[in-house]
Amino acid sequence: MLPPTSLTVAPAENVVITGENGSGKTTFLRVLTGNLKPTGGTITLDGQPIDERDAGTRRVIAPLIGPVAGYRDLTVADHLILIDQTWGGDRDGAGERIAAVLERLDIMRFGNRFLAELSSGQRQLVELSMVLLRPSALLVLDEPEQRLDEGRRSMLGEVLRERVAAGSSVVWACHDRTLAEATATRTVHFPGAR
Amino acid sequence: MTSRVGSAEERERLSDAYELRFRGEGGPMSAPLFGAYLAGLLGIVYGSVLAHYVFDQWPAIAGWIEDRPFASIGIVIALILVGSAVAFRVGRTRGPVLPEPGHLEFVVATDLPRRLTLRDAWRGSQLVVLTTCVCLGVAVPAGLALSGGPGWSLAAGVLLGAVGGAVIVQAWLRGQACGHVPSLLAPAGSLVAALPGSLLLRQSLLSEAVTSSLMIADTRRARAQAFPIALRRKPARIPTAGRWVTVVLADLTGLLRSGWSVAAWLIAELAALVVLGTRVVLNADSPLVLPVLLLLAHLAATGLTRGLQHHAGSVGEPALLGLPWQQEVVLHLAPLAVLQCCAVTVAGLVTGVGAIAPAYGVGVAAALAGSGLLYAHKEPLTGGLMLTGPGRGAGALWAMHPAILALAAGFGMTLGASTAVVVGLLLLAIGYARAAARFAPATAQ
Repeated sequence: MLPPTSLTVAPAENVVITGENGSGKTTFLRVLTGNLKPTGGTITLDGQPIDERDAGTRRVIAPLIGPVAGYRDLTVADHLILIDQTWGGDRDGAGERIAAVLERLDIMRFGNRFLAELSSGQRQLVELSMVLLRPSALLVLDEPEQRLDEGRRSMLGEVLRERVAAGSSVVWACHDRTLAEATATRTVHFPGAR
Repeated sequence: MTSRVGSAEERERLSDAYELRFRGEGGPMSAPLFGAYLAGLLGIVYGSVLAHYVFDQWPAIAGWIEDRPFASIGIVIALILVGSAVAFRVGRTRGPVLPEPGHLEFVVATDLPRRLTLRDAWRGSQLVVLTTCVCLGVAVPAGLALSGGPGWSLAAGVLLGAVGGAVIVQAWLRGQACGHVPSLLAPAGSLVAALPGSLLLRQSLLSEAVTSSLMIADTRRARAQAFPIALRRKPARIPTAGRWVTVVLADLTGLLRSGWSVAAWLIAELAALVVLGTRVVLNADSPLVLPVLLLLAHLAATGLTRGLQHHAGSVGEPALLGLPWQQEVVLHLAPLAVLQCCAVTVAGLVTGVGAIAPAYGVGVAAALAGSGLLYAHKEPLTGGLMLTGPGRGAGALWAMHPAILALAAGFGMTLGASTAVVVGLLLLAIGYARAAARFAPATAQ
């Protein structure tokens, strides 16, 4: 259930959504990415309706909501190659781009593993790398700090700040108050479930 | 005092458990008894008629048996030995002692007398194998006798069937127990009691997955459980090949990592399509041959569309790849569709079908792409065998509807090349419509 919500996200803004379980954070994020249609109201991107199937929407908004349905027979590197190439990356620079994102998240050593061979925290970072690799102006993340240790949470905060500094926006749901306060430019609190 | 088959108290406890499990309807031997009844009925009635037909059509076979009785018996004994070797190998994957899900819990999760519980499963398998072999031993000599062959063959057949059945079922048990008992020469009862619970659980779940897959003509669940990927990294990595070709290469990489099972699906697919495309089949008097072959091709194709099935599995979640779903679906299906079209067309051209062979190729490829879309864009079966629960009849029909439509398209194709193209495109349109509906965003509450 999503309560009446009004929110505008500006370029280079880092918006954290907080709220207790069941307050509608994930539903809101799904609506924001065009993955769910709201029963009332509108959601627009530069004045245009948002639909996850629309190429324009997908090029701007990169969501990580829930576990990524990865291929059981492809390695982490294979997934990243597939993502990079289908998003139009040039062939020669693919290796460099993929290495950069793996290095930034400190998961280079997992590149040759299948997803089933990763721990839940490692998988969380790999899924984050898949979203960071694709082109986007707005990152939408649902509790990306889950299953990460303290050091990795700090790293996540740094990565998000870097994205914002580069001109991208971030909207994410978070239960870690310290991380949220250290990272966000704005905090939106969702009221509890009714 | 505990007897060899359990004490009275143990039997009573087991009887109470069966009462709860089967709710007074049947028991653990019900399914084997029905299977044996069917084997007996079909084996003797239809088997003897079929054998009679074969011996009448090719009297030289009957004459050869009559002239060389010892060689004939030697061939049967050789067949029994080959059957035993195969049964031994099969036992490592699916043994004769295999309590079905529901019954299996008695063995692995309760303190009910294990030996008594497993004994029923073992007896059931023995009954089915022995009945089948004895019926074969009756049916073939009966057909021979009806064609004027020697009467002694009936006695020999019954004897060989009974002995062969016993040998085969014992080899099957020893195959299941291989690696889990100190000696395979131990009596059957000891082997049955020594089978570890983990082995029974794994084989039972695997068997249930394969059986339910066969029943509803949906191989996805069985492939996921029965053919796990070998964690090999060959090829080492997907080549970077641009926006579209990389998707095709990713599919190929995934298939190559799936091991020999993919080779089996590919051989089955090509064999079905090549036979389907021949002049004999396309001009066959029977309207059943072409639909059955198309159904086989459809089933084999489900083992080769891993990319499409993964894509369908992620429906409702934000897409990872930078392609519209229509493009992704085309890339997953196109290489296989080209292969299917070429196989049917070449088979037709080689066997003299003529200029209409490509039309059949296009029709078959389109139909199989459509049926693949239907499979990929519905949930795989997650329930137990036979879809237990209310509305299971409708559920079973729903689960197997892609196969039913593939079969129906096959019947349509028997009407001619132009009709083949039309029904192929119609099935493709239905599959596309279903896929489009599945990819529509849900509505937030």
